Amino acid sequence: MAVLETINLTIRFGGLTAVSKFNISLEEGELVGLIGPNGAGKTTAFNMLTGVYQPSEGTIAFCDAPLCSATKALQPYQITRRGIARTFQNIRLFKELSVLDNVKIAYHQNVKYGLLPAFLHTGRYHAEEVEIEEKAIELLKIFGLDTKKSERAKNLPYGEQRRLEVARALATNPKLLLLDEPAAGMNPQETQQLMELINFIRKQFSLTILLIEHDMALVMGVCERIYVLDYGKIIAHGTPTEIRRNPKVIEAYLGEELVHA
Amino acid sequence: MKRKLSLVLVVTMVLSLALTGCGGNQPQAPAAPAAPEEIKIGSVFPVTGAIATFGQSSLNGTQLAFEEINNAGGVLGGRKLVLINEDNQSKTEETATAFQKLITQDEVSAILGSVASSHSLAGAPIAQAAGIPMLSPTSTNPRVTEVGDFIFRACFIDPFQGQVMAKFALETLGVTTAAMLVEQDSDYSKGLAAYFKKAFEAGGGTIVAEEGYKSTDTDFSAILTRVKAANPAVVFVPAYYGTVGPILRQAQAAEIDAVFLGGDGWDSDKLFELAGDAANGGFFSNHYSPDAGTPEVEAFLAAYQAKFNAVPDALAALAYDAAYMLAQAIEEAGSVEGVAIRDALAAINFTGVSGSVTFDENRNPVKSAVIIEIRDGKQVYKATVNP
Amino acid sequence: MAKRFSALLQFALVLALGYAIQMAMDAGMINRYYAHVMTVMAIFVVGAVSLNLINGICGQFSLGHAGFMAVGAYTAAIITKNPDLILPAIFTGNVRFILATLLGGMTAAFVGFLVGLPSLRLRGDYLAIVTLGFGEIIRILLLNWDFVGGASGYFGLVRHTNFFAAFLLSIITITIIRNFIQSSHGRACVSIREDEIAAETMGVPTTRYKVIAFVIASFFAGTAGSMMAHLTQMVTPASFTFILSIELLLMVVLGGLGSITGSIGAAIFLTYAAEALRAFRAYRMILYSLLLILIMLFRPKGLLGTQELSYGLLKESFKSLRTRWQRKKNDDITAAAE
Repeated sequence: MAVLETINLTIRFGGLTAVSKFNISLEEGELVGLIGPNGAGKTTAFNMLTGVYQPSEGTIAFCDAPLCSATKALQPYQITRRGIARTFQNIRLFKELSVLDNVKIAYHQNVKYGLLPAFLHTGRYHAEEVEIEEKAIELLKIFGLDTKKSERAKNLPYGEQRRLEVARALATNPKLLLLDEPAAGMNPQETQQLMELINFIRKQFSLTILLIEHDMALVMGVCERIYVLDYGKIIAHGTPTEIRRNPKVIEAYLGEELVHA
Repeated sequence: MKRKLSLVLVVTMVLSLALTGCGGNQPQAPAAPAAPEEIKIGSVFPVTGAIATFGQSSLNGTQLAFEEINNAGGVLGGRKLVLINEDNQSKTEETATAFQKLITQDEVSAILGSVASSHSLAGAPIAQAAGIPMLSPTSTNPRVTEVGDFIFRACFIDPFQGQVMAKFALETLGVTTAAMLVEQDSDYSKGLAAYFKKAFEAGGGTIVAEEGYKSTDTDFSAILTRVKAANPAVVFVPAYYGTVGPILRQAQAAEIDAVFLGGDGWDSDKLFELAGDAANGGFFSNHYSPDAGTPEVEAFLAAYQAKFNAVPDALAALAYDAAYMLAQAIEEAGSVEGVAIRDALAAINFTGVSGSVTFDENRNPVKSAVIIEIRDGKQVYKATVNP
Repeated sequence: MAKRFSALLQFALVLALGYAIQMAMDAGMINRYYAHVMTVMAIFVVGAVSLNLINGICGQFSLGHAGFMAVGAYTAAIITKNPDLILPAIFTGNVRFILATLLGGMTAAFVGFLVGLPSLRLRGDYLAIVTLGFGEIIRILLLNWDFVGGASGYFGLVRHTNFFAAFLLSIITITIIRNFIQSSHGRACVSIREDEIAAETMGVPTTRYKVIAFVIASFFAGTAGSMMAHLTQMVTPASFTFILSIELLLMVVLGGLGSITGSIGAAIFLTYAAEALRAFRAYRMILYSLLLILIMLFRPKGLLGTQELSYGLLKESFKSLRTRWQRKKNDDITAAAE
């Protein structure tokens, strides 16, 4: 069963077609890479998948249920609740809040108590808040952030901010995780650790992962399949070995001259 | 972005406050002589905010009166009057606070003010509850004195002007037909019109046309055409100068040759700018006229001009009268106790700049009004009409 | 359980303190002027704290708070003035006043919902313009409504508001809004302020939470309006101009956007300052303005920023002061040694 399937996903901004006929399909448990040069439309594709942008054409199906079609489009928060979580290329943490609160907010969708218990701090409120706190701390432990739970998010070192963003995304309990350049700005060692972490959580939380990445070595190392996007179109897809040898990909990445040289 | 906006707002606010704040640059309390017998009188006049100019005029009039009274030996055998003015910033809530402060903090014997009826209405219950007499120089809304038996006013109430103008039309102008143009969204206009009609018809006159308009209207040609068809001898336009101006101008264009009458809302130099020579020949009622020629008015004019270098307006005159009225009441009461002053005020027989005053059972003054004629773009004293 | 008990105990102690102050006022130990000013302070606390929920906690920008106060004030005034209108005549006196205040708040909340639903989809400055316009519309409607006296105002109300009533309302407001912020729903609101897109992506229905915050704030603004109306014993449209919204906004900005204790402090301080500067007569507005400019220059985030004033914060600032002082002393010693 396909976890995610898009058909002819297209978006235009005025006269510019940013992404055109974007067709991908992810099987359960896969780790798939989405690569392409700068400005190819990778993040735009993510924004369509998470409902931030409404596609001009095409449909998205998640676990065989439509997220977006010609007649109906879900809001980003509804999509999150269906089980798609993401991180952002330029980290978007709740900067002024504590590490713990960042994760707690992601548990919001599971909260069952209403406004009245919130106003009055009833027993129900306390019970659920304790549960949320325990879950959040448990998650932070996996990411080695539990010792910094009271720190404001903006005060964390860069690498930890990236990790916190992944942790926060996981707290929404997703089936599909979209990672937008999670290793950007990291040194090779940190990148290596991150990749191990991604592999670990993938198994631990039985996730399907779609990964945007610039670092070719990284993508080739961990991804089972790769889609290549250039000028808004998918120009190739296949296993890392196939992609490495694909002339179109080499052209897109290295420029025409080199191919002929 | 948001912070920027809030900063911009703060700056605008601060600037507007600073600008209005500059309006009231008179230090209010005269340097208090250390005599133990002085009598503290509070006043609540707005010297900042929307109606700061009204408040300043009122304050000037009061200060002048107190100065004169003190120079003449004070009241109750040499006790001086000390004025403590609290600025209410032209705000209702501030008025309540100011009244509360004057009564409890400064322990004043009586309060003069406030200017606007809505402000007086916020202060009156506090004065009433504390048993401190309150005398508003200029609040014309009938409800102000209805708050209680400690609340008085020095000006006639709106309906009275309607009666005055009806009497003037019937007796002085000798006419029997009148038309009325009434501003439908103004209590002031409706009040004056209703009482004009009542008095005019009671005196044997006939209202031949009654037309309504809104304060936001600018084209009056339709209603003026109907007025012309009814051919009245006088047209009563109880409204403020802002709408009266265009009405007079358009009436002239429509060749209506009736005499136009109005109330104290006409009292502004702006009327001549708006109406041009169409204003000439009109009459309106007012609280006082600098040209009335009585000894009280002459003395007041000279003193005011010497102190403030300006011609006093009706607000200053009424405040000046109110201050003298209060001093007389204290003198006659022989005491600074609230109840004694209240009873003395209720029984007062006072003659001042704006005429002689007694109070009716609702603590509204029974007093004369002046009729002012507009001649050659100037306000000219025409007559005094007694109730 | 123990936590809830201590919270209740705290609440009861604070109320007892308020009641004791009221008794001192009734006994004449605190004069009426101070009592009046303290009552006004408590009402402004309600206004500022509730506005902070929209502007500080939720990160939206409303300039229409005076409009909601007006809705609450007029609704409650109509109910208390007409003994058989809206509420049956069996409710009289203070009971009628309390119910009228609640209904005033609810009407304001309902209007807040109607205004918020379409306009909270807008962001930042646009919302400010819409709410500003709303406030003016309310005022002009009231100005032209003869039943409530039009421009001259609606008067002859009974003076139901005393210090304790206003104090009780402010404590309830502070407690409920603080509890809300500490709940998951409140965190959802804060996340909108921090990053709206990220919040949405974390499963927070942002528009819904903006409306919820707006409605709660409108409710309390409405109750504050009712308190004010029954303190001054009258309501006029002129009391609810845009200037009132700005004054409340100043309290929120001064205290720190997002800081409840900051708003409380600023509301009390600014009301106090306005009274203290009374002695300077006409110049007090200039002094007041200068004071604000200075604070905005040196503490642009407000006195407390988004932090809450607590024992912990005090301890920390003290500690940092002490380390700074010690460092300076050490420097002096080394300098002396050299």
